[in-house]
Amino acid sequence: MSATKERSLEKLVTLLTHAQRGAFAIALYDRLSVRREMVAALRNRLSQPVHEVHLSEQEKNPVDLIRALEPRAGDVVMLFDMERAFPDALRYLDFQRESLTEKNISLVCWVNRFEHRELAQKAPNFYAFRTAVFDFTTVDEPVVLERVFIGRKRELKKLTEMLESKGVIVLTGLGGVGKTALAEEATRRAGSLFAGGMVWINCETRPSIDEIILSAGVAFVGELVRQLPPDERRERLDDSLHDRACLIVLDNFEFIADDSDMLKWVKTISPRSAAMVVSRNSVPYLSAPTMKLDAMPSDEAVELFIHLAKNAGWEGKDEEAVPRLCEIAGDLPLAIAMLAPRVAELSISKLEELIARNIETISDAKDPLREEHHRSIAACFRVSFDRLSEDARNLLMRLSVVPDGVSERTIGPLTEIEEWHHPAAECVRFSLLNFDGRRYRIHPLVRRFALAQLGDAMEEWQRRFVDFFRNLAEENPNINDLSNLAVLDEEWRNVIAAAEAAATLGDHDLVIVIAHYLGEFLLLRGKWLECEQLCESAVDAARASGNRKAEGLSLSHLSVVYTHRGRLSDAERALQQSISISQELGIKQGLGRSLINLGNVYGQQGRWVEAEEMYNKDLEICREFSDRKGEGAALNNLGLIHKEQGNWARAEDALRQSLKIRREVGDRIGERGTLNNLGVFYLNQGQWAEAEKVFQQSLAISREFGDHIGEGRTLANLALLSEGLGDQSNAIRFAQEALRVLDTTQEEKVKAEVRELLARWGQPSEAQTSMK
Amino acid sequence: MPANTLADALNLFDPRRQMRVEELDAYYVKRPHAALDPMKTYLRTSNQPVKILFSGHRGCGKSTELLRLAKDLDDHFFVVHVSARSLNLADLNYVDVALSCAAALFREATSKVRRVRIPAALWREVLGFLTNEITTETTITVPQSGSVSGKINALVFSIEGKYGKETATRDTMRQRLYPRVNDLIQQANAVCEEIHRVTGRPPLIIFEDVDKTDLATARNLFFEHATTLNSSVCRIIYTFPIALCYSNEFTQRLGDYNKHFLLPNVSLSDPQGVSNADGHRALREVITRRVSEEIFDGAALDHIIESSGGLMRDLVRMVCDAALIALTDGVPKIDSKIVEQVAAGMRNDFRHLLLPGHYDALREIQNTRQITPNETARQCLENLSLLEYSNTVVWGDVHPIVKPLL
Repeated sequence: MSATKERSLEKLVTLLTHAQRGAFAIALYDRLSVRREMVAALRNRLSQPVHEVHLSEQEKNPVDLIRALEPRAGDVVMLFDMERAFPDALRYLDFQRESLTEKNISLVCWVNRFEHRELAQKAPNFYAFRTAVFDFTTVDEPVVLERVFIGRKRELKKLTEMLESKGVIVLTGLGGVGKTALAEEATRRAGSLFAGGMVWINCETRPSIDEIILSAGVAFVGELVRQLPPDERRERLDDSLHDRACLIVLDNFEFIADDSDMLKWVKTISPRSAAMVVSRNSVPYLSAPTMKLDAMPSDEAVELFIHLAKNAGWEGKDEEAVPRLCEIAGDLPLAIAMLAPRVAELSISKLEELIARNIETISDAKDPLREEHHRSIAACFRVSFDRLSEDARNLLMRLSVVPDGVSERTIGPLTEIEEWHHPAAECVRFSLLNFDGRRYRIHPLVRRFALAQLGDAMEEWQRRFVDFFRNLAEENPNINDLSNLAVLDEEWRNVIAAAEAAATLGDHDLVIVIAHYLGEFLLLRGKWLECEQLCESAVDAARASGNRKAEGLSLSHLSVVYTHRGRLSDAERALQQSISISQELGIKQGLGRSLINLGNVYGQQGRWVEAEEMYNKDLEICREFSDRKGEGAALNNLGLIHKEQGNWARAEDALRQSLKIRREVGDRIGERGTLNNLGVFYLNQGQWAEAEKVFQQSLAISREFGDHIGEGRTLANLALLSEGLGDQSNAIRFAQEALRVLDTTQEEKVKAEVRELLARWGQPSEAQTSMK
Repeated sequence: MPANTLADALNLFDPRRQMRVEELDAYYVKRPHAALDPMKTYLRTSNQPVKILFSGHRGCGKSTELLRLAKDLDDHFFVVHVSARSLNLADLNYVDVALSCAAALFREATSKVRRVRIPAALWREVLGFLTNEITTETTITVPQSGSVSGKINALVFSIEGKYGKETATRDTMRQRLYPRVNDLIQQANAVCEEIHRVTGRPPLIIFEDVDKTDLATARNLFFEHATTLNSSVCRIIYTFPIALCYSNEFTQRLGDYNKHFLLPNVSLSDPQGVSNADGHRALREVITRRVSEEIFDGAALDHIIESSGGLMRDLVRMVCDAALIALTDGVPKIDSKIVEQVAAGMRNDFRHLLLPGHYDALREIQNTRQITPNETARQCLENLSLLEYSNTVVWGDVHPIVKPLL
């Protein structure tokens, strides 16, 4: 304990021991940990009863609360958290000071700088009754590292370099992202650069510019400055900052970022010294080099979690679930620090369940070292949220219904805020929203917090979100249209989330509609898992609503995913059900789609005859209904079957017919497939030049449409072609490129085939490395 | 016999404690240039039901002076004390003041200690008015048995208790009082005249703590509702916020009241800086009547007196804090070094109160010793960085503790 604090403690103990009819004492602190330490020390040293009164938004009248304790004369009452009950608490204290005096108790008001100033100015009658102010502030004490520091190597290096360059620098980021910890570590490492010393000022207590100058003056010039007038004090400090390299850290700067005098002063700090502004808000006025800190990389978050959990006595049970828990916590260090010690008491699955229910679960009210706004994740975010303008708060709350962020194109229509630019910029400035140049995104925990703030309006905004993305999917149904594809590429995660929300809201039709429009896109992009879940939801929705037609259609869609994933028996079962429904309802076109899909299953199983039968039946139906696109698909598949059966002429004929139709109807994705199949046909025939020509055409379309699976397949075929031409190095190059492209998809079958090729050519499989 | 230990000093100089009437003889010290004598003379010689505004700095000793005045005038007046503290200071208004004055008058006149024999018929009329017109629809009830004056006494206690604390009761009663406030004052006036007739002493109401409301509330009360505040036939002294004296409106509205008396701080010098021995002597006596000079070392006592600026509560706090430091340090006496620590602590407290514009204004007043009525001066008077004195002329100076900051 520092000498100043020790002396203040002694003096307070003396007062509380000797004041026979009580006293009013003001205890000034700037760190919660210090307050707790001093209160504990007082309790140890006093013989009379000590009561604690904590004010809150609900409990604002300290006089009533003290009265309810029924303290006896001579008892000590400690009053905490006055700011939470401002301004009412000040009025109660000011107007009812005599009723407290009459109780002959000693009242110790624990106040931070802001509370002290408010008390002095707005409760002058009460303040006039004080015996003295007891100073427990810590400004002249070195920073004590109170936390473990893990990861962040890159950020630490960059911040240390910024400090080395001197001048003003800004470290910004979302509350709880670990700014203070990083700043502490960086100042510890760069400490030797600042021969003049370092002062750490916690601006959470809203110190005035005079108080900051005084604190820095005491640290760099000495106690003498306390007795100087403000102007002279500032001059002496400025001289010191100019003469020797000093470091001022202004932590939690967002609390005083509106103080224009403060900003002006910080800007004038001598470049020989450094000022590190640590703030949730960006501070554009300073025009200073700024480092924005994001959530931790997942592996570092997991490492931090495991370290903290083990320190708390966790034995490593269910360690494999830790990454999932960190993901739920958005890899936010504060959330991880709050959650990790709890796995020593609760299973990870239970913890996940609790967090899913309420983010208030992410809290640690018991840790004496935590500052007030770091005792729960909600409290942490509230500090920033409460400072937003009403427009910005509305924007953030409305955006919170969207899990995957929004583009500039969708933010206005979705939130129904036409003039969204300023509120969005404000949210970004307060680090509650991220903008990567294309999309505005909210950290998952901030999103949960903001969603809760919607209160009764939450359901209404979830409904709007669902409708908005249903319409978006409906308006962009054509995967052969590049502009439709671009929209879906940006928003498909939100569309899926809309389907999930619709399921929660019990809107079955909406789930079915979204699955119908988004299914093809997900298949094109190789999003098998997402497609499978969406189609299964659609099947459930159709069954729940008794919509047999939709059930049949959804089962048919589902079978395609099963087939891609090699779950052929599941696919066959789904298709049998789908076919049965189509027959029952007499829907021939639906039947046709199921037949072609069943043909695909048979084809995968080598059941060529049955596959051909299915394709022929489908072809017949397509022709009956003039479904040219379907006809092109059926012919393409028939061509493949003929090829497999060695019927080369029929194969070429079918494929050429398919290509013609697909080109006619503008089915570019289908055209790509047929070109690839034709290439395989020519390859089998040894017609190398023709094969290469159509493979290149197929490749071009794949690349134009971002069809990575198609591109990977064609590249693999080009590898085989090169092998056939005796150019093994080119073959290896194509195969490796195919693996790189396929790695961005969930397609495993083709990847396995390519790996086999590479193994045959004696090449290490890069895919295996990247798979890790 | 003054106490002679530091622990006694700590307890005797408690900035929260007001002097009690039984302590007056032991501790009261007559202040030079105080307003008490002229005010007493004015009250004694005036035949009118005068209304007096009495102002002074927070902690300058107003309550003590009024306690002394009440004691000295006890033979001439039927003194009744009222405090605005029993009301809700946050939204004090004129009907609250009228009700408090009437209730206090009724309470004192019906108290068994004072035994004022007022005809029962008048009390019955008052009781009927209070129960039928004012307290109806509230939880306030009248005892079923007992004399009519006993019933009024009980009823008034109940009104005074609930009006300040129960919002619902206060709101209901206020709604009933707004159209009936003149009737209430008439009832109080009738009682007032009867007290005068029976006791031979006209009632004098000392209404304290009105100056502790915020300025907007005080302004509304004193300037907008002066007629109601003047309607009583009682003589009334209202404590009045000193900061309101520094407004142009005050000069215009002063005529609504009979007289304004200012209780200045004890001046330790004249405006030219020539030391005022009377002031020093008075403050020294304030201390030495309670504690022996022996607990002070060397010039420490004078140092405290000088540093207090003549503001009574700061003098009290400084002795208290100095005793506390001496006790903490285990030293037998308060020396100048300790006093300087106390002063440094109080200087720090002022840092929380002074705003950027205050420093220039204070520098100017330090040079001119004149207080110009404006918002900055008003704020400085309010936060006690600026003190007002009156020797032969009224003048101002910066609190000595603040001066090193300028």
